[in-house]
Amino acid sequence: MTHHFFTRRRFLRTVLLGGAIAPTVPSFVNRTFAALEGAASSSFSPATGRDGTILVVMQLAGGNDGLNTLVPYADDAYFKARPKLALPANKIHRINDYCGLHPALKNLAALQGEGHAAIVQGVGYPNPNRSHFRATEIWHSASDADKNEAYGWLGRYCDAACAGEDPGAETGAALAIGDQVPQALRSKSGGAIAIGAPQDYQFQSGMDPAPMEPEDDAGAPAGGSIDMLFGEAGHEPAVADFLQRTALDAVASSSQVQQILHQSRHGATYPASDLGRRLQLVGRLIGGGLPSRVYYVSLGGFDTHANQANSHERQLAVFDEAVGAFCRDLKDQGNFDRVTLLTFSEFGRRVAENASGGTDHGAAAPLFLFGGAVQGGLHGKYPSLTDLNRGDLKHGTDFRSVYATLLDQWLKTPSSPILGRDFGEVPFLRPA
Amino acid sequence: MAAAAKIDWDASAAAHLMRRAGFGGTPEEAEELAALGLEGAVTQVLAAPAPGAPPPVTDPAEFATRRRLQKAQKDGSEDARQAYGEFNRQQKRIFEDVRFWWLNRMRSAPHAVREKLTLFWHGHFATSQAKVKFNHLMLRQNQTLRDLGVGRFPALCRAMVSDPAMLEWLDGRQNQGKSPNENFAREVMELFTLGEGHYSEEDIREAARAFSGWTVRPEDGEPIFRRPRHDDGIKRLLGKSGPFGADEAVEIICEQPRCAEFLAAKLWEFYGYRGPEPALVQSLAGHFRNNKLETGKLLQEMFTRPEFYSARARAAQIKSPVQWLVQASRETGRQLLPPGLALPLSAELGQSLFAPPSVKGWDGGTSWINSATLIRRSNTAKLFAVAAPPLPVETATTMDTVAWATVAPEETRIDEEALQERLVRVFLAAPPGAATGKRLAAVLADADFPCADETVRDASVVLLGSPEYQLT
Repeated sequence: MTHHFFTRRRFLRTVLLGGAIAPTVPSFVNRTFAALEGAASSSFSPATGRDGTILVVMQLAGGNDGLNTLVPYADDAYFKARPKLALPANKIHRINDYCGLHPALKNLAALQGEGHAAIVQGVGYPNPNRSHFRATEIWHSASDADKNEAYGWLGRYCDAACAGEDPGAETGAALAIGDQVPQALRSKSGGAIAIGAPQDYQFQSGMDPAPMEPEDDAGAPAGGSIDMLFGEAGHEPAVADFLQRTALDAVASSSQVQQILHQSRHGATYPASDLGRRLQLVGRLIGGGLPSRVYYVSLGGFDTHANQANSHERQLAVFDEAVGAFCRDLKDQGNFDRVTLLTFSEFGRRVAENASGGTDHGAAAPLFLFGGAVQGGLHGKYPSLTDLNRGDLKHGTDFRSVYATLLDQWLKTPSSPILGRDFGEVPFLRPA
Repeated sequence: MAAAAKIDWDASAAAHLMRRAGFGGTPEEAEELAALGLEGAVTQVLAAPAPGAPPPVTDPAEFATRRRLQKAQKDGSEDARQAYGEFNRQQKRIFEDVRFWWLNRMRSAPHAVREKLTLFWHGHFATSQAKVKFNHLMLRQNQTLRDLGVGRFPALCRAMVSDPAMLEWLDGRQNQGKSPNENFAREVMELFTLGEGHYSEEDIREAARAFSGWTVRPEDGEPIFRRPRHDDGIKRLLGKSGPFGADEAVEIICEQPRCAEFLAAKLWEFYGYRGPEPALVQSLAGHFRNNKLETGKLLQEMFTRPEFYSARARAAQIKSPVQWLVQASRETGRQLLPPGLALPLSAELGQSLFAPPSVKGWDGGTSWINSATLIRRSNTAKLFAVAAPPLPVETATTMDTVAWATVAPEETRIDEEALQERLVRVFLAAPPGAATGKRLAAVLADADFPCADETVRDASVVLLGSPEYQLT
């Protein structure tokens, strides 16, 4: 092992190679923020003039109790299985004579009434997994339950959409609002961006790690590889490469995001919850004309093993108010027709309540889509409460047919190569 | 084994050992370890005493008191409301004290191997105050992890079955024979011992029955076994059957060959590198089994393996926010950032002690870093150099001068090259890349040599804020 000292000559050589950094920025990150330059310098206009469709995905993490979200209030089996937790039929926002929404879901009920909420019932997949982590991986990667897939379904979409150099197919980097890039956005090209608190999303002066122009770059090769940028010692190249790319993404994106946030209006009112703040940020970035087509947010707190009545109601209210505010914001912007919000949970919960006043991990559950372009109302069919698989609801719709519909019809990218096969579609989007 | 047969033991290898087994240190400490030889150094590191300030005082009756005050305030008197509010604020302060106390142990203990291992177990048996809401129990669990962490794994695992914080966290206290709550039993097998795919859903249900009956006494937060709540029927668990209770269930689970493999691989990923070679895992698991699953022995084996010092292992990890905070202060010879900065910062970067995001703990690795957290880490680098108080030295008049003399002693300030060498040795696990090198050169170009503290500080800030500083 050599000492981690390095000679002046080696030092200078690495310094001079600095000019090679630029080609390693994932091209669509570049494209996203290059496209912004024009948009951001003109003054804000409510409709951005961009007509690309946008998908916002929200996970209700922990396993939302589908049965107490879309409530089968007319089914005796529901009241039998949930002696403590069943919601009274007269409080339900009825959709039809069988089921309706939890009393806390006021905004969702209103969106449903005006045809802007599509509810797909009984969504799941074969051989459901009841582990949070594994089930989340399955939903994020769209893999079969017995297979592993490193990249996310939206990451693979970005890889596919950015593979062609067709300048018309402009696709921005996928954006996660929060501290983490979720697996759904993980891609081979690694260009997804995470933004936590927007005001912190900028380098302080002097701390920007971008390379300065080399003083004398006559000797620098054109387009070097990233391995050269770190020193020669035994880095795990993948980790070093990842760090450099992330640093460059951060440099490329942060100043432009700040610019767009300065220019977008703050007018829309959102609830003060974390989810409200996150959706507000998404609303501002969409309103400000960011060409990203995929956003990701998450709300936790749905793992209700014990005493769930109050906590579930609280979380649903947080969800409901934030979604309501987001839809109002998009309508005011004139962007409601080009945004679809998909919300899902990694599984539903067991039909029968447990002895702790809660419910354990289950399987199939309803999922929601909101937006000006959805075909409102119920899709698929409510699973039987008596024909169960080990105490859990059986799915009638594979979640990947929901993804396929969004990829093919909304993001206009063929779904089979991304999902591995043809899953069919669910008619939750209005015919164009 | 296909690994490098020989270990090049030198100060750089010793510094690697210090960073991985603990939280790093100064080049001088690395030289001292290097002089002991590999075996001597590993023994020294593992045997280092683990003194530390006594933990903050927590209230064993916190739960009962809160419930009493909460009830009283519902009746409406202003005094009762105030008393309840004051109690909650006080408990929140104590919680902050507990968190900072632990960070400080990591900062202060020589080599801090125990603390690093406790951090591993905290991420493994990941339990969060977010649900437990009981300082005394969180601290109690932390002490259990520290006390039993180096010993036999089955004993630690058994302690977790009836650990009061764990009973709250995974609903074990609500698990009763009549209607078992499966939450804990599932995570024991999926996350704590075997890994997904090495047990059946039936094993979970049966283990939940075996674990039933343990609950928490609200008046003092102690675990208690309530026999009427226990299911004493026959269970069929992983191919065995009998009227198993917690002891037998843990034993049966831990003696699965898979358990040693699962833990050896996870420990290696924490200390060494991700995705260890299958042959290495098998070899470590064999060693672990032969030593009755004694974790301390496994660490000793890991730290003397050639793979641990191989090129693949060096500078191959991304620092967790806690590692990043603690290591920076050990390297700069300063105290931690004050609690009001360190605790929120660590949380914003994705790691709150005593509040892991889920029972799976922290994903670690590249998940620590994204554009947002990288910006935050860079922006904070300056704080390490200006806001963290220098260690008090009684004789010195200006403490800051002492701190900078530790980072760069006089003989390293004679010229640009010597200072670069010194600072890279202090702060980086591998040489800097081009962009960082250029920034460093720009700072040094304007300085006069032998240089003043200010130059050392400005150059240190460049390295502390660089992408490379995230590696260890």
